[in-house]
Amino acid sequence: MRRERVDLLFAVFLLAFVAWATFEARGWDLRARLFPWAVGLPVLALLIVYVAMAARSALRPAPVRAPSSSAEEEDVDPVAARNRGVAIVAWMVGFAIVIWALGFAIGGTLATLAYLKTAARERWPISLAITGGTGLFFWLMLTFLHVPFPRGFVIDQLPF
Amino acid sequence: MELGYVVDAFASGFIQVFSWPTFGYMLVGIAIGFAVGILPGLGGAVTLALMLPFTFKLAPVDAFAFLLGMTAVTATTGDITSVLFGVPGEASSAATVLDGHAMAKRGEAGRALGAALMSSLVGAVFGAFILAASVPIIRPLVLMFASPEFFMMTVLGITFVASLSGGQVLKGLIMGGLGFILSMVGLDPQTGVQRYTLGQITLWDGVGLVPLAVGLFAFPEIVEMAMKGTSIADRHVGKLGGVMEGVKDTFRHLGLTMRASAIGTFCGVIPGLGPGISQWMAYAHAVQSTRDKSQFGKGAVEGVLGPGAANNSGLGGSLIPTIGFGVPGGLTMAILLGAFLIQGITPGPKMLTENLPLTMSFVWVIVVSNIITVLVCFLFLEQIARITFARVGLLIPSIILLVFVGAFAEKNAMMDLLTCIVFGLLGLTMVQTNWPRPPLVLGLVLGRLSENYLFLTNARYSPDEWLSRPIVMILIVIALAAVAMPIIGRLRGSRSGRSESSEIFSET
Repeated sequence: MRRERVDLLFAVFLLAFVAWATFEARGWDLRARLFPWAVGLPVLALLIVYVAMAARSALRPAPVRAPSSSAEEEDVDPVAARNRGVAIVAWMVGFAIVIWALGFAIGGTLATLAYLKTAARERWPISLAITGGTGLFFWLMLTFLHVPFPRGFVIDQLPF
Repeated sequence: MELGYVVDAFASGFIQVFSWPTFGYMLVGIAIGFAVGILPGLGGAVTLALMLPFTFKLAPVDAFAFLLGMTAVTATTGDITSVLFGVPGEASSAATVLDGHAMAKRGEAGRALGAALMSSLVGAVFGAFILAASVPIIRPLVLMFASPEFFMMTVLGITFVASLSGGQVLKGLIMGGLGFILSMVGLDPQTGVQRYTLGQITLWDGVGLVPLAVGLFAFPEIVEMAMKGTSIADRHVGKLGGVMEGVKDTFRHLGLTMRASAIGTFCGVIPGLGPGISQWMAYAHAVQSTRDKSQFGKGAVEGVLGPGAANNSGLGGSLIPTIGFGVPGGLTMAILLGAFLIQGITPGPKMLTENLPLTMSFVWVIVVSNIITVLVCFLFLEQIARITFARVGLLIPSIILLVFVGAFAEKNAMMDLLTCIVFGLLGLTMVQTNWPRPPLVLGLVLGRLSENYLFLTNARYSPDEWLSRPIVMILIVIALAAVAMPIIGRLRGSRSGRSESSEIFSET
């Protein structure tokens, strides 16, 4: 999708969010809604102006443009780069889910090993070394800094 | 207060810091602060709170050498991950990401780190000596500021949104406004009404600054690293990328470094402002005061020097109201007040009279701990900078975990992982569509302060009364100048036919 159209969609999303935020405040006490309206209404006006400008740009014929990211500038295959981009976002969400389920110490360590072996395709010695370092890091955080990492949703359900 | 007594106390503080075991405790504090500063989210305030119980049995000078030594270096080392990975090591190191990480991608990581560390040292020394010099005049200075002046300080901060957006003023204002709206999430402090909490208890105290900042800045960097698939740095640039080049940059731009230090110290003095705001004000000042603005956001060393100096000079500034009045300048100082209670010391006039040597020892702890940290960093920085040439596949899992640990550690809430992801995806979209990110963070930081001070001001003063206060009027003039100067500069540039780079934050 052309960047102008993505920009327009994003601006419309922001417009919808700010409109909702401003509308949501209508039922509050005057002191509670004064600032949201004092900020929300002008921002809404600015967004309407911007959406109008972005819509005009999106409807114009596509210009020839320079590469939009350093990945493109370095002659990286754009399809491969985009696939890697989507994959890493999925991995980051996956890391968060595993951490939520198994906790930082276990989940974070396992997710690290999984990434190194499947996505990065690193060899076993370096994968295990980095995974071991990750585990050691969490042990130090727990033991010396007493950071209260939760055990994880799944671990909490276990009877022991 | 006799000058001779002040000088004696200054010398006595110096001797105390270098005596044993005070010096040993300071070194332990420095080591902990070094590690903590590098870890995103696990910041100075949290670690200070964790370490307080260990100070029960220590003498006052030993306890504060340990705690202040730890606090003084976290802002310095927080810049390291900002430069290398684009992940702010501290909330006060977010501005360093913009140009510091861009320099690292150009193979100039060593130079960026050298500039960040040396400007941090200059800032820390500046702030510490302002603390020492302000001892005779603390009380009248801080008493001159009331809620109208605090409100105007936040307005002044808002005017920097225009500078932080470069030519994209409309986008910058929208993002700043969005930041303000996000700052209202939570329980309204005046009425207790739940605003935009979506029924979630974890949102009652608002959107966390740390998960927002690490998500907004780190996610796009991680995605770009993965898309490139090679290493963080694009190329080797030899000596130009070296640490000493960055040190020389600090002295080439000494005026900017000193002015940024002054901004950081001043924001530290004013309770409620602090490094979260001063880093952006210093960055905006660096943009405004540099002739060639085209490189900002793409690796301008001035963009590293300004925030680097400002986020370190604030500690000395924030100690001024804390020591002088027992009024904490921010969260870190509020926790440090706990240390005063533990030691049985009451902040206030006694800290400026019979406990003056202890106060002066704070000055020397800040100076000496930063010198030690910078020297240690310089020993290993070239090696640390080589991380930017490692395969990204080896680095990405650790960076992702650092981001999530940071997001979690602010409030110890798993919900903040979701906050981090949401703002990470937002940051990704903003980079792809060329929307500036700094105004969003600035709006979040300033929004709540601004609302609180506005209500207090309206409750206590009529508009005529507070608008006619001398300091308020001075701040109004400065705010108008801050808005007008970029516009005048652009008008002059277009009249003379120069094509000025209009997108300081063209991040794609």
